[in-house]
Amino acid sequence: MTQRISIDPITRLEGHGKIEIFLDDQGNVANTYFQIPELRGFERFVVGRPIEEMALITNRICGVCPEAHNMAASKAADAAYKVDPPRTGKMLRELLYSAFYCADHTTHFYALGGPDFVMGPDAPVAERNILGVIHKVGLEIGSKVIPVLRSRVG
Amino acid sequence: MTVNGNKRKFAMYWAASCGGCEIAVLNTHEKILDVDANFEVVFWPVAMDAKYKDVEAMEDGSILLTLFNGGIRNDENEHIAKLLRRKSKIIVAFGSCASEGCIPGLANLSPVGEIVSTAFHTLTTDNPNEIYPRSTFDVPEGELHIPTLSSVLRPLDQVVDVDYHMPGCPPESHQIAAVIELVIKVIHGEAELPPKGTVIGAGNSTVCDECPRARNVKSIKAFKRIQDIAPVDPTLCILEQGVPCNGPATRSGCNARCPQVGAQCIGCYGPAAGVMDYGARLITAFSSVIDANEPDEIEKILDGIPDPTGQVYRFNLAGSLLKANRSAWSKEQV
Repeated sequence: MTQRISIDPITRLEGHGKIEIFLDDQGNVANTYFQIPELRGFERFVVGRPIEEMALITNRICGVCPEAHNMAASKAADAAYKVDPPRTGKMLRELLYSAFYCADHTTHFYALGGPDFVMGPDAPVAERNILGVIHKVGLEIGSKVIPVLRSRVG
Repeated sequence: MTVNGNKRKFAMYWAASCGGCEIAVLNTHEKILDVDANFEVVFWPVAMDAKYKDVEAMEDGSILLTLFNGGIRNDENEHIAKLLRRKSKIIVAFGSCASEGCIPGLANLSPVGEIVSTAFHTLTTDNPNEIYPRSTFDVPEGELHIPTLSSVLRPLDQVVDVDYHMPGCPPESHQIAAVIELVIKVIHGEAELPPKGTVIGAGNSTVCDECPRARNVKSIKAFKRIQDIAPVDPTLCILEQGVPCNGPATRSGCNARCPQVGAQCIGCYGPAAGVMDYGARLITAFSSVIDANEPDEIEKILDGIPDPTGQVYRFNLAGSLLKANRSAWSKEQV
């Protein structure tokens, strides 16, 4: 008899997902299916809209990495207008993207993926998260780290 | 509603959303510690690993506060909305998607079949076998299910009873912090909850009222696209410069964040207090600044707004009186 394990929903990343794992009679993984249970239709509703809208529409694809979508849309606008931005413009974009790179990685490390490693995979769900990490290191350290993050975001 | 030793339960969920609301909550910084001190977080997919079955197992009404973001785009979103409504004493339509549909509501201009066929058939989509998603799919090991798309995207209050609305794409972190502070005071018996249905975490006037830009008599001979007037005058009203700015119809609460940095208000805080239909109010505002009397000339000036629907219903189509384009209401399923 095949055993089925459903991971629904997958958590601590942006985007919705579900994983179905089937085990064989020996309890080994026979097959695994990763499913995306969402579609909002950005591909359709960007069609026919002004190019200058793209940077503010497509960054709503993902609120964890809106900067990446904003950048892609801005480059698409460059291509549509057949322009090459001045050096200052390119450097400003690079600065924004570098800041995003740091923010995105710290978000993943501290709030999303990191707690699994800090608390361990067998820690209870209630503790295997960013709040559990704060409990582990102590409120005193937690409340010192947070203002540092605030100054970074500005 | 006083503390009885047990922490109150807190949940946050994303339906058809982007995760930006969650990041805005995390950006309340040390307020997260107050949430932790006063609440037991029981379900929050972005931050903790609880599953749907864990929510199913909770007692009805056992969650004090659920911040629900994302619109209702499929039957799974609808199921979880109803589930969390049953489990929660207070449910907040949190952010633009849940309160009015937001950008994903623009999909309501297209029938669902068209949305799917476009998504799986773009120039950059590698789909040589023309595979399209199906709700049920047979695999050798059994049957797989994915949610069925609804014909239109709906804000949360078109699906379940909602206690409060909190606008914004995303809600400003200082507004979230203020709401968290209020709820904690309520828990400690130091404040009362606002009346049901209140728009929380926002102002009661318009973005224009918060905007520091100088306003004179507006009279416009032509609407312009923002890239055509660069540089934007740093102190003058953006609408007065000819760029359609959604400030006149949009609820205050963001401190006019976009106009402050030289960009037009895009309307993410939704309709201002007393506005029955956001788009209608905005059309009125735009019409009132046109300096022309001849129908032909007025027509020509209006042609300067290249995407009228997207302009006046960018965030609000699903929550508007229109709700959708007629064709999107078709029963067509995928």
